Amino acid sequence: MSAKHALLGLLLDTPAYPYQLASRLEQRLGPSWEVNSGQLYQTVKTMERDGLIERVQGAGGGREDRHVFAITDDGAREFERWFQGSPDHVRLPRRPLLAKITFAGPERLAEALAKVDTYESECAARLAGVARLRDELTTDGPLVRAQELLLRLNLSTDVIQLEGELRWAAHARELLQWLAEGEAVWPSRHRQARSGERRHDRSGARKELFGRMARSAPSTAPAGDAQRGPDAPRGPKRVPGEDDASG
Amino acid sequence: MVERDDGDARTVTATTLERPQARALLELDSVSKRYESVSETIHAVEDVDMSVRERELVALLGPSGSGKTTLLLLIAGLLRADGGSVRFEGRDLASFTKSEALAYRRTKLGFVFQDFNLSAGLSAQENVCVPLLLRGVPHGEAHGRARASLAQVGLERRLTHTPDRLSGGEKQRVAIARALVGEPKLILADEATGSLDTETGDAVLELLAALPREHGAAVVLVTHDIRATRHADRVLQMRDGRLSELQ
Amino acid sequence: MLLSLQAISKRRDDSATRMTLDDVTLQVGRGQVVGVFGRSGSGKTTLLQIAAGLAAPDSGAVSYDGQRLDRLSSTERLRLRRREIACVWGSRPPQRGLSVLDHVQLALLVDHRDRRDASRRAREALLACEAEHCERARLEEISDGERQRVEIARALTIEPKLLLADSPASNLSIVEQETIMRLLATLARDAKVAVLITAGDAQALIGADPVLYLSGGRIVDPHGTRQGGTLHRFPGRARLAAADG
Repeated sequence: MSAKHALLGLLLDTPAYPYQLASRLEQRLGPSWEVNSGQLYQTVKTMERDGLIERVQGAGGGREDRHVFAITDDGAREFERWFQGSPDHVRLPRRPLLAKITFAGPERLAEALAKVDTYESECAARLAGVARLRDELTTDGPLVRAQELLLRLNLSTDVIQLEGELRWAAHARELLQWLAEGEAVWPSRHRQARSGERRHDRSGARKELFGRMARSAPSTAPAGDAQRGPDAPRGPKRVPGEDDASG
Repeated sequence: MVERDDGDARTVTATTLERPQARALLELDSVSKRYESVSETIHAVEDVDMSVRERELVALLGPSGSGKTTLLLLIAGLLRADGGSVRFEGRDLASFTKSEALAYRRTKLGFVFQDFNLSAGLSAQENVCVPLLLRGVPHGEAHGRARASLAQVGLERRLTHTPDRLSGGEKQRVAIARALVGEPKLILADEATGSLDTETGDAVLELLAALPREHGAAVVLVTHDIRATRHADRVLQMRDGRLSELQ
Repeated sequence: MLLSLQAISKRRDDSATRMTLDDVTLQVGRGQVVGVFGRSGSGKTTLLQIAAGLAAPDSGAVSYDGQRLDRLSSTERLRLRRREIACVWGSRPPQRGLSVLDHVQLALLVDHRDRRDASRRAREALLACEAEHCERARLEEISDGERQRVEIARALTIEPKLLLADSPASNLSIVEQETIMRLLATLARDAKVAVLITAGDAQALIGADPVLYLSGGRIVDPHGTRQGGTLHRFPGRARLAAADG
């Protein structure tokens, strides 16, 4: 999303100089909201032109950085419209790395693995950084400050996301290693899978056992076996409220 | 000096003199066991001599990591010594075939563990039956002997209880009944009172201490609980893989 | 439906108001693998215990094969667990000292099966679960993935109609997860067994359908929003005339 609505959110609390908006954005929402001043002044200019914010204090001609801005009634309405607006859908990103792995083919599995390793290190470094920010938050003392907790939520969101990325990397590595060991069939131009010696016996046993179970499934009778005792009574004796569980 | 407080004035030496016919059941002769990792070799058990006579109660003390459990595994034939010999009734365990080793554990030994090691889905009686059933004892006989064994540990009213409905002390008594039911020559108890409170632990110790007298089984009590020593005929101490006798 | 849980609720032992399970409804039919995932403490294990008749719900109905499981006597429920409802508790520590074969045939042995028949069936189940190679090993010697396959083999020896598996594929490598889930899928399809399986994360539930998310004791409805929270309208905040600081 653009920073527009987040800036309106900040201005709902209190008017501010543009430079204050930039730092507060990060203070409230975390490092993923870092904006450069060029972008910021552009956004502020557009918002002022659209009547969402107005100058309330300051001097020095047309330069935005000399003025304090406040939200207008239109701005508050726009914020409310945005807040109430369309549901917040999940969006799954397209991942270039994943596409590379997908099309790497058996010859480039080692390179694909190396890319996963690099990606994993970067995620680990980013995670360490965000986790540090999160841990620097002081929530000691008698007051629980809403803004601190909400910032923590923002930072935790990044941590959780990065943890997911790390998990993905481990997962991808396992799968790539397994492929590299030649355990799967590739299209004809590629290597063939190793055939497991035991596969035949195992599927035979499966067929026999599962087939026997399936044959006994539709009826309520037990599997045909002379050694088996009489089947459990179907008509239950009712003993309401009885419970043998204690743990 | 080991003191006995059971009102019996026998000393350690007198105990052995009193039963001159008691022969060595278990003999360890300069037994060693090393674990090797990439960087170092750990001598878990080093040059240990030890013997246990029939109907003897031996307490084996030592801090965790001192090699006590390794020693038990060696005695049980679950680990093979790197040097020296472990002999049971005169036969070297190293000469056992795999099935002889299994038969040795099933018929000559009984095990009691700190965490009881019971089957969760089975009743007390069934748990005690297990070693007999695995030996091929018919169901009727197995259940009869299990009942008798549970009665000997005072649990005749808990036959159908599954472990989740038993207290810690009761679970350990089921485990003792299970260790006893096969009429073993030697019972190996590994921290049997480790997860019990003092009072319950004392009761379990009493029970274990009575096994040589009442069931003719020798007992090796591995523990770091000094209370166990007051029941013992001999007290051995393990430290850094080496064994010494406490006088 | 072979198993049907209808509006199951269970309070936490230590609390009058907090719920382990809160109005959970789900059904599992023969030939179906239903997966439930959620964090530890989300109520997964309790859900399976209730489905197995090992625990009773505070309210709601548990039906198994047309009868009210929660109204059967403990003896009848035990009988069902011996003959028809098999459970795999993935995180239970292995019983030491037993060989894999001993462990797998145990359920049959205590159920008065002939010893030779028991070991024949145990071997067959181990083979079907791709764990025959560790038959002679002791439980504490085999890998986690083998262990879970051994546990499934043990469950299959009674040739159950319903299989309840508590996180058998969690903490395994993706390849082992795949092996286990493929086994369960084949079991459901070919043996017409109803399978209810839990996991710590959806990733482990390869091939299960549906995959349900259990959070805070509730199944999160995939077709709507969660009830319970009221939408806080944004307070109209007064504009401040002056800048701070």
